[in-house]
Amino acid sequence: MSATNITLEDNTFADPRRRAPLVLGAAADFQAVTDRVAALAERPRPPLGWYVGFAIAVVWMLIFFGLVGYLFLTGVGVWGNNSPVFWGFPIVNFVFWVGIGHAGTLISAILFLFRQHWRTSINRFAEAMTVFAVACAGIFPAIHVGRVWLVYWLFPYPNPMGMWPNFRSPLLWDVFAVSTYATVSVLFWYLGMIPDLATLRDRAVTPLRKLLYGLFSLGWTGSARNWHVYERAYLFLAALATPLVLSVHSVVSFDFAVSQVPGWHTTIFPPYFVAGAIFSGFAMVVTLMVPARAFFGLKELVTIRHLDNMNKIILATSCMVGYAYAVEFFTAWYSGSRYELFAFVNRALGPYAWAYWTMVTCNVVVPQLLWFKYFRTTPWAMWIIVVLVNVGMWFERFVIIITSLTRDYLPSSWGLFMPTWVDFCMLAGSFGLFFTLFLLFCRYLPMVAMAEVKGVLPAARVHHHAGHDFAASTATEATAPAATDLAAGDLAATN
Amino acid sequence: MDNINSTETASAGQGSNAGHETVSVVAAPPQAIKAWVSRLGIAGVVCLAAGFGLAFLQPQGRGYFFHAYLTQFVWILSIALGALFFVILQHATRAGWSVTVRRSAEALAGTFPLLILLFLPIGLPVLLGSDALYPWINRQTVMEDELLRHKAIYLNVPFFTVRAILCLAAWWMLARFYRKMSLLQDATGDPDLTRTMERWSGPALLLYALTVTVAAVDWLMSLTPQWFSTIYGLYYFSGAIVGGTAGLILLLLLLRGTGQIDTHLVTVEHLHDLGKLLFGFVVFWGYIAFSQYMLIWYANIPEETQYYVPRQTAGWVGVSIALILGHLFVPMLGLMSRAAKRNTFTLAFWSIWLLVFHWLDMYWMVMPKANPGFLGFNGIDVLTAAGGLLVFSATVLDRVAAAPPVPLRDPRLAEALHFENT
Repeated sequence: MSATNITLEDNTFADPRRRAPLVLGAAADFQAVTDRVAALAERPRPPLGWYVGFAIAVVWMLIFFGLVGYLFLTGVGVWGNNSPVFWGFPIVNFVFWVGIGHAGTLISAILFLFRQHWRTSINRFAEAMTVFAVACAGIFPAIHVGRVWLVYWLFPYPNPMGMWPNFRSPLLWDVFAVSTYATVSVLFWYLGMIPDLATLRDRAVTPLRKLLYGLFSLGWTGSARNWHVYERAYLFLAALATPLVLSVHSVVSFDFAVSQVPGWHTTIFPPYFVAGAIFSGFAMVVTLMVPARAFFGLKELVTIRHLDNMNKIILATSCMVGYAYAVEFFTAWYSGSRYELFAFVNRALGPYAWAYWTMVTCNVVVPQLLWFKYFRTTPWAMWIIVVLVNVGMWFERFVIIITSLTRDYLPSSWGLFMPTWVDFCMLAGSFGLFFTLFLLFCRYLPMVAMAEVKGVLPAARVHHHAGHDFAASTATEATAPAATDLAAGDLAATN
Repeated sequence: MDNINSTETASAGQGSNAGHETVSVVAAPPQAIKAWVSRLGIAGVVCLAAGFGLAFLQPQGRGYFFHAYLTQFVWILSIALGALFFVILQHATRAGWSVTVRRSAEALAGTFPLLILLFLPIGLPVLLGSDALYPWINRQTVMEDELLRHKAIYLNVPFFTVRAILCLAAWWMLARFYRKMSLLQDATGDPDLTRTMERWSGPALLLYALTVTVAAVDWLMSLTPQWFSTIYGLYYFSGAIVGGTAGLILLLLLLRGTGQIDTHLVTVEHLHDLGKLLFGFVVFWGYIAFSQYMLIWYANIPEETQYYVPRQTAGWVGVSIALILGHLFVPMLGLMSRAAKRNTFTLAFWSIWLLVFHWLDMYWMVMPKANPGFLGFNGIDVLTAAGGLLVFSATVLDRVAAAPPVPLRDPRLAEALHFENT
């Protein structure tokens, strides 16, 4: 299953007279799409590289759960959390992972509503990543509560104690926002996968596979009625999920912004956090996609143009994040509030200045390279950039949480934060959990949305226009000369 | 510009099915538009002059006039800015569906020469040291206020003027560039022009974001110079895209209704899509407005709540509630159904509705100091708003008359003609 060494057609051209093909070469055929994608899940044995990666991921996942056990037995003192930094790495990691989990819904909901057909090759992949990232995110606040055996108190359930969670607390809103988001992401991911699971069911040769894929494809027959209902449901879910893309990270930003802590309380936080989440989410998709498309032989389905488009979104969101940094800094000065200004000067020049400048470099400076087509279309170059974006976005949360808490209004209560080995290992361990789930997904589920990709192949563009739509799409080049004479006459008249 | 009764034909497709593919536009003679340009223009100038005259009949009418004038200015400015954003965005995303509506957006964005002229009554008094609008111009006030002394490096007349010139020049330049290139393509049919417009769209959006933020801070936020909000630039922008989209829809409906644009060029599918964008932008405005309000209300710090307190006092309570309902919830429900977006009457209704409430939003931002407690609208409010809208409309129609109603030879024209919502 190594990468095919054929030279692919360059579909990154910018010629406005024709639209680039979304699937290239031999894969641009209904049967070939099915074969290419389904074969990955049907292999009796994955390649050796998968085992190596999976082993490493599982080891780290086990370290993670081992440390969770150690934490439960010992208490939150195993972390570097202290007074005044009550929110240390766990909340940094929480916000980091929730942010990563934004690309999936953006691609499946917003890009769907915007008719961005190129999303079909990457949406399954991104949605899976979203679900696993949200799973990683959800663990951190849950184990951060201290008395973890009482974590169910977060939910407002009728109880004899007459105790209710504080509805005015954004931490409670988080419970709702993140759990809603997780539910909708899973539903979206699963709903979109049903036709493809049915394909795997129909192709399955072993009884176990027949049973499991059959069970989860919910009796899909592929009838017109099935498709009708399916597409209605997909559209509705997309419409419902679109506000979720904005709301989840907005609510996460409220965790900080409703407080009066300098550097946290600022009105731009909700949209700024959303832009940062999309930024980091897309960076993670590209981080995973660049090796995956080479390793699993998906270069014709996930083409350079797909990467190019994602890199443009990364560039756009990088600029938005840079805008927010600049506006925050300016307003900290403009406000005339000495605490606010101090918080920002302290970020840039204080004890954690290295973290601040890592953040600025990785999130704003380095992504500017994506203005150049070379960096958007060269896999190894973009991979370095997006990995740095991941680093930068983790540090962004570190900077926001740590620097603001270490030094707020009262110098007598200042203190520094020092992570412990448990902090570092749990951060690494959360990646272990993430990659374990992700590698299982790559092994057993259709990595590319086969049914949707087929829908954007040229051969599928024959709907009720009965042929001429197809003719028009191929005839685009012929359009300009036809219009020429009449237009020229008109222009002569208008001048 | 003489005696044209031309039949433009934008043909898309191959000869074999040309019968179906060809759409022809019988454009009404531009003289008819030209006549309206002067009528609307004169009416607008008369309204603005009458508003100014009325100011002399009222106590403190001069300060009131300048505030009302600023309200209408930032209102029509936002329509042009929203349209400019739309144009640049279509190129940034290489959109095909919107080709036939883009020329109308270019016309709306082509009003910056007028807007520069209309800025003079705001900019010149500032240059002459009048503090009718901005308290930070008054030296005495600044000297007595520690915060204003701190901000004087930014909030001072020369720097304010430089920034205003840069912002207006940037928008004028961007709008001119995109319109000129598009018209040039009508003449030459050169697809490389599309490429050029796309290539500059990224930097154009950066410049746009920066200048809109600066303008919002300078012209609106500094009305309450002690107050600050990091989301403010975005707030103005979110209103501008509502206003720009509503304005674009209305212009298209007008041009369709009067036969300037053939209904085969701008179809119900395009209107439907613009309606979706309008719906989305309305919700986006609500999101931004909520973010700003909720965070300030929650933290409850006097230096921030000073902005909302006057807007929650006496008559302004009603205006604030009207905004929440009329700028968010009512149009959100109204525009939600597919049918409402595909019906020209309902779409026109909600576009007008939103332009009115968008004006009210500008009023809510600018007027609380001039109209404390909100004792109702003044004749000056109505006259300035009407005057601004009329001269703006006249300029838009002048732009419309000066060019073919759709980009005739855009390489993606066929996509727009065949576009259907599925």
